[in-house]
Amino acid sequence: MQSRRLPNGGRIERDRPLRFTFNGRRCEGYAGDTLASALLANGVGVLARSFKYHRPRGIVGSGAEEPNALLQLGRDGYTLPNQRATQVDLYDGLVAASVNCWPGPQFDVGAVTSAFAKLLPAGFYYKTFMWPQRFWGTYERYIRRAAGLGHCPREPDPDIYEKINVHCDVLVIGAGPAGIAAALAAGKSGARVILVDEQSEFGGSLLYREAEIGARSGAEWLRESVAALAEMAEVTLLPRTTAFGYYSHNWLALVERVTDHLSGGAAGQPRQRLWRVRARQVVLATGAIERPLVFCNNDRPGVMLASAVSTYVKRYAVRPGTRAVVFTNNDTAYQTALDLQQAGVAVVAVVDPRDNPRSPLVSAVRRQQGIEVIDGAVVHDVFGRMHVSGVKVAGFDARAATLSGASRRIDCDLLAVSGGWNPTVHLHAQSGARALFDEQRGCFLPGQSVQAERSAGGCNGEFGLKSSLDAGAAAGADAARATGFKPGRKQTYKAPVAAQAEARLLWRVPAQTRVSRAPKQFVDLQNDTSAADLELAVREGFHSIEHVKRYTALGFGTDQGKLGNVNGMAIVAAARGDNPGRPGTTTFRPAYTPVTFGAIAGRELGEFFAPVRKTAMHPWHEARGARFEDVGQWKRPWFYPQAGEDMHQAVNRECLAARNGVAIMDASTLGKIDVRGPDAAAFLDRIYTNSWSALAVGRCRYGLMLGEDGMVMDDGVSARLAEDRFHMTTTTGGAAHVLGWMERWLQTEWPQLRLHLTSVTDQWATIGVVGPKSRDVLRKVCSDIDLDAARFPFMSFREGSVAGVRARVFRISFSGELGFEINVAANYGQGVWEAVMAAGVEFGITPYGTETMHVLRAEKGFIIVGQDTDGSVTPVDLGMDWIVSKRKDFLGRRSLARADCVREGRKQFVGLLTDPPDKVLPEGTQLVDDANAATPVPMIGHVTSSYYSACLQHSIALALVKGGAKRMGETVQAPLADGHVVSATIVDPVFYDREGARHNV
Amino acid sequence: MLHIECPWCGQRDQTEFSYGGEAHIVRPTDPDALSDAQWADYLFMRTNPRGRHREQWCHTSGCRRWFNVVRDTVSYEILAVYRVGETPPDTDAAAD
Amino acid sequence: MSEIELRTPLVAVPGLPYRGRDIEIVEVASQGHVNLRGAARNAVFKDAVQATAGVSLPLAANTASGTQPPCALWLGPDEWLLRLPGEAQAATCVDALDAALAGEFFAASDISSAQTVLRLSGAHARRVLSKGCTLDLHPGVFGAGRCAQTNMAQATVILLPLADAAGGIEVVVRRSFADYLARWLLDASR
Repeated sequence: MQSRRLPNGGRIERDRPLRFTFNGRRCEGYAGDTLASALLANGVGVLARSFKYHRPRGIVGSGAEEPNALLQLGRDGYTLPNQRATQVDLYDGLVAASVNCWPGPQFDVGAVTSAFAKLLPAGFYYKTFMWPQRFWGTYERYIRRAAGLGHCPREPDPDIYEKINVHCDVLVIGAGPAGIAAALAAGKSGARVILVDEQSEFGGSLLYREAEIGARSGAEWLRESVAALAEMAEVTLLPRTTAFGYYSHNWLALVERVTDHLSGGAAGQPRQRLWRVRARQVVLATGAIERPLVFCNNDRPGVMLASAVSTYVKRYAVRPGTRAVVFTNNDTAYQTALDLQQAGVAVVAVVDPRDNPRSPLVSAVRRQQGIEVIDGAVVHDVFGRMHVSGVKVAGFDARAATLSGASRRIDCDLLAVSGGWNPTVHLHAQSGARALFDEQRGCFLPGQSVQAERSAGGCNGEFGLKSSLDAGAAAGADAARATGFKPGRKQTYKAPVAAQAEARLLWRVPAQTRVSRAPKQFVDLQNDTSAADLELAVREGFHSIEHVKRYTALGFGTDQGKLGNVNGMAIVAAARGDNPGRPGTTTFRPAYTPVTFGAIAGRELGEFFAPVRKTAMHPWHEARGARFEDVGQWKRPWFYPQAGEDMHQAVNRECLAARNGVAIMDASTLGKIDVRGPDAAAFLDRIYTNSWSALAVGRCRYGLMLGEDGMVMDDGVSARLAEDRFHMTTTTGGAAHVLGWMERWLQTEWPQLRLHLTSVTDQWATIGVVGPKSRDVLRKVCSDIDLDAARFPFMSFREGSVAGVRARVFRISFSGELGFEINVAANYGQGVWEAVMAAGVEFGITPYGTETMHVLRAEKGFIIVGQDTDGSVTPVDLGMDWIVSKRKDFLGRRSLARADCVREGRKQFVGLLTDPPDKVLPEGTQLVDDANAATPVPMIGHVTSSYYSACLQHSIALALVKGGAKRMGETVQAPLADGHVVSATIVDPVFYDREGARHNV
Repeated sequence: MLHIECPWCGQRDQTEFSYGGEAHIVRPTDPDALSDAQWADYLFMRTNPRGRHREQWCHTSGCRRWFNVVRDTVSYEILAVYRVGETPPDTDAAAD
Repeated sequence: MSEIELRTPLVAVPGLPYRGRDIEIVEVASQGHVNLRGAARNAVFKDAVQATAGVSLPLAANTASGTQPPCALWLGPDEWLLRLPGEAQAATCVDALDAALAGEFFAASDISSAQTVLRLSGAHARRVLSKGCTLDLHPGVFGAGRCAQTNMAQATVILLPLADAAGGIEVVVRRSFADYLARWLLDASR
């Protein structure tokens, strides 16, 4: 079955065969395979269709750079789109399928676009579908359906993902020779080291290249080094982990594929883990990615990177072809020729644009039987549509950059190409540094570091084994030293250094005809961007590389242009008549490779999406069947439906109980702040609009806070516990903000004031007992407080005990009825609540929730900050001038005199009575004078609160209306979304008991 | 993700802090003496430099202290940290 | 003090106490917690705390006078958390301080009901906490004698490393967040 598997060799585990399917076909591979190596072993050549032209595509690379082999994995909720087969570890039962083709990659209906390729140049969609503009939505839908890659799962993701935060001294990214040497050097010093590599095995190039380090083979050195690192207590090794983002202050994000490679996952283990690392020093040892060459039909299946070919042969024991040609402008691919030859693949030619390159490696290839080294020549075109069947080779005139002489055909089914190496500078660039073009080496290299990072090995242009090892060791030692460790003597490695012939830079192979007429020369395989597209873009005036990118889609794919970008930039430079490095790079942005949403979300979903705060009485509310409402982070009882009741009925019942009997509510969520110190009253004078220094001990007062811009910010009732001490309350949602606001003024502006602020929100459970019979209930549970109306007057408080528990009892009212708020230590909150309930049974005590609280307060015209106000409302707008002191300064006071705050026509707080009386307006409804006026109809205000009042047997609303205070008795109109228009009369916002007689009993 | 040095607690993650905007905005002692324009200037107008910026931060999830930071708004580098009431340290171009 | 039953914040969380592999989570309930504010340089204040609570206030940031009550944790340059063996001691302590320090500029608030303590122990305790906390919890950096206020899974907490060999840590959390945080920690310990 594995027709292309070599009989021996490789790092695969032949005693662990694994079954998988590809497009329904049953295949087999081994543990240690990637999906890509297993597909090649099974002889799969075409596995995808290209994005735009639906051309057949095969595997090109062996890692993160792979542009073509993007497959859909798994089924149902487990499905994953666009996974690079080269980075997917094979597991038993894996299900893989092609994307962007129908019915399959061998025969694809969408390939019809290929026939019209000449008609689809860069910018085609922009130019064609411009007109008429309103049709763009329709066009877009079809264009997106024709393009696009894999499909998203429709089911919720059943897997678990998690995050972890870690700190380290030295983070080493990349575990090739340089990274391992760096980790060893830093680890030996005792530094906390994390070594990560995106592959399943550490080793980098040592996994496919034979080497000699000291007296050992590369494989032996690798095994011993990894074992030594594993022994070090402060070293963490993370294989299958991609460092995908380098952010400010050396904060990096890594994603570890914990169980992706396991069949069916592992119980209790997350599928992926997001590591959020704060590293004191970073060593980048990310290596280099081989650069492809740009020539006609260079996208045909069977054209592969030379290093990938070597990887498949040496690491996975797979023969990617039977008859190979190598096309290279540098020495490294000569080793691929030898690797292929050794594996029994006929290498018929090595085509090299250089004239007579001389080096030991080239000589070794020349000595091989059957390999023809054709120098001063290029492969300029490829035969075969579904797979390479041969190549066209012609002489190369480097000076004129043209083909020379006759073209000859060489038959082959594999073309291994190398255009040199691109150091992987992505993370360096993400860190804020700028990669610079090195004219001599013809590649971008790391520039000046701006964060605590350094590059070593291939990613720094150090391509030789010895130079990589030595640079890695030095970087690891330097990083450890920079974090205060002593790495000891400088270490150098013994490894053979082979002389190499200089590479000849070749950004684009000339074609036989004009580039725009010739077969496509692909630069970016994933986006089907060709050399002709880039040249067209420059001709049309797109000169900045960022503009060219957006016009041609160069580098826009999930591979972020890892293969194509550098060639593309050089081709753009040539078209502009510039040096290759001149256009620079496009911005490198995270993520280096795509990251699943699951990993980014982690556990912050469902019940853990945001904190859920509960009061001490929460279990009681739940047991009583309360429906809950989210108020900030709190869960508050909304209403308590009885059997057969809907919300409306429940709220009407609760309201009437509060007005006519007694009702009880959990007010624990109100913010509570202990304000204490000799300057406490002076401080409150500055914070609140009204005066507090004159408040007598034992009394309460309602206070309003403004922002410095004069707008209402928060409100609440506070009590003076002692000369130097207040019990302040805030709104539920505003608690944290108000405390922070007051601390800020205290610390930064008025540090001379002597007082302390302590949050006691969670300390006190607060039980509101409301209604004409509330005193009767309290009498039964409260023996040491004199509840007599005269001796415990409205707006005062007493300390004593309730149900035997130490309590602060406030006689205040947010409902307009006689009412008490009992505060007890929260540990006893539910017990006291139950005692009050028991005492109230004979009076018909009724628990009520936030909805009833809203109705009761709206009947009294009391505002809710944040509902009836929105950050643009002053106390004067609310008709609350009475609470604004004229005799002292306070925060926001000066703003109330600003021209805009005193002008005519500001929105003012009013009541509305609807006609018909049972019609409840939706909150947020806009108000107009005449709904039939010509559009746009002038809007004069909006409804802020709206309820049905069972007590008044009328719908009531609160609203902000322009000039409303002077419009009492006038009619406004409320056009509704359903087309109906409701009339309403502007009235005073206090609907019930205007004299305030009911709470004064 | 910034790593901010709280003058009391040391280096902590940005998520523990809240941002307070430009530092050294002093509340006028006699607001009534100010014209609307002068008051609006105090209330709304802030510098928005490209480069070094003195700003207030609060270690909200830690010791709840407000303090000052000199931060480069381009590189995000934190050049200095100092307590409320202390003179801003000389960070060369801080006066830009 | 009364017939009313004391209910700790975590009484209703299923799965507590939790004993898993290399991780245990229990609620350490009903201890005394006092939030204390005052000037560290005020000898009268410090002496009164020493006399009343039996602890000497730590002056170095993020340190604790001990790991078991009675002890004091540094919360800010003029703020400490006093931990006392029981909530009755907290009430007594606050009353005694109020009496002893009449006229002094200070504040003592009984917050025994406002927060509770989750104790995590076992070899995985710090790793579990690291899932929700950005602080460096390495035992060499954050060992016994230290304390820190930080965020844990979007809740504000105080962390107190214990002196046990396994590197346990106590998490002080506000009452209203305790149910959420306990569920979160149980999930993270799975």
